[in-house]
Amino acid sequence: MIDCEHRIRLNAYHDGELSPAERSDVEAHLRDCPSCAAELATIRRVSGAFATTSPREPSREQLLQMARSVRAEPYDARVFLRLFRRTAVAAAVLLACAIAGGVYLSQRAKAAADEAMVLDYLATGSHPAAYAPDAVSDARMSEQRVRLAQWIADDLRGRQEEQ
Amino acid sequence: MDEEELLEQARRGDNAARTELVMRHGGRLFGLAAALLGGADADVSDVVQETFLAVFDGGLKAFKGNASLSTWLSGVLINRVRKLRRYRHSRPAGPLDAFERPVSASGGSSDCPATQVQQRLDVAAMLDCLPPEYREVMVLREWHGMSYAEMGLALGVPERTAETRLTRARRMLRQRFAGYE
Repeated sequence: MIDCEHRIRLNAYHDGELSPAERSDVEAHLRDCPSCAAELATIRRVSGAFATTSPREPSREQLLQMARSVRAEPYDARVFLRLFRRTAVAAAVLLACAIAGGVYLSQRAKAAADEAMVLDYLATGSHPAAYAPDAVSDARMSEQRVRLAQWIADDLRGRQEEQ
Repeated sequence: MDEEELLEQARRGDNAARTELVMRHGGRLFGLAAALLGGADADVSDVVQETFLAVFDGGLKAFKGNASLSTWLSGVLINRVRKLRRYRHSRPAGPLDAFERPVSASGGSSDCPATQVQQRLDVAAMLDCLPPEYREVMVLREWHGMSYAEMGLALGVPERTAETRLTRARRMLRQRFAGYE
């Protein structure tokens, strides 16, 4: 009985999912198979338990609250928010570019000043300290750069003398 | 107005259309979420609200009209419930999750309020003992009257899979509640 082929479609029969021909087959089988008939009765009993109840329902106030909570923002507010977001992003990009450009130009200016110091020391023999850029606020850094320029100039001069 | 058109207007930000859709489908979705989650009203309302927001404001463009709007909304809600369930599983279960409701010995129909309450508890206990995928088909079939094809669309599975799950769910209930009459 447990292997009864019709058993697997008893639920479909109960739920009205079978074609008329299939229904007739199942009904003919049910007349001769007490086990399947009992099985169908059980299915009906389980379904019946659900049929006597219904799912929880929200109150009208809960429904209205839901409707309020999914309202779209007013058009003006949406346009303003969109513009604000775009402006903020553009400002952030511009600021980042300005900072990067400033750092780059500053580094280039320092490199040019160092090069000028070395060339001038080579040409005139004047002490590189005289060319320490005033713009450099960090005195220690400025001193290191002067020493480096002097070392480079002396090294170049020594090589020229050797030749 | 055609529901598909109503949905399109709701997506464009028409609040009258949004309210209309919530009033038409909110109650049914609330009942579905309550049956699947078995939680407090606040949780249930949150899930229904998230469902509508996802449909109105999110990137959901999947509604093609091959299912009714009602079936499609059920599918969106079920996905939300599954996400919430996964989140809950990642946290320790609270006492309400572990609470098993008693099942009465008699479940015959009656107009007596006390009996109706008991019947509701019985059905809640039945649903509680089912794995989530079986609970889904039971609720969609028994309370929402969906066909196997509609259940397949709402759950994103083949029709035959929906039927198999329903068959197994009923079998499990029969074994679990053998004394229920």
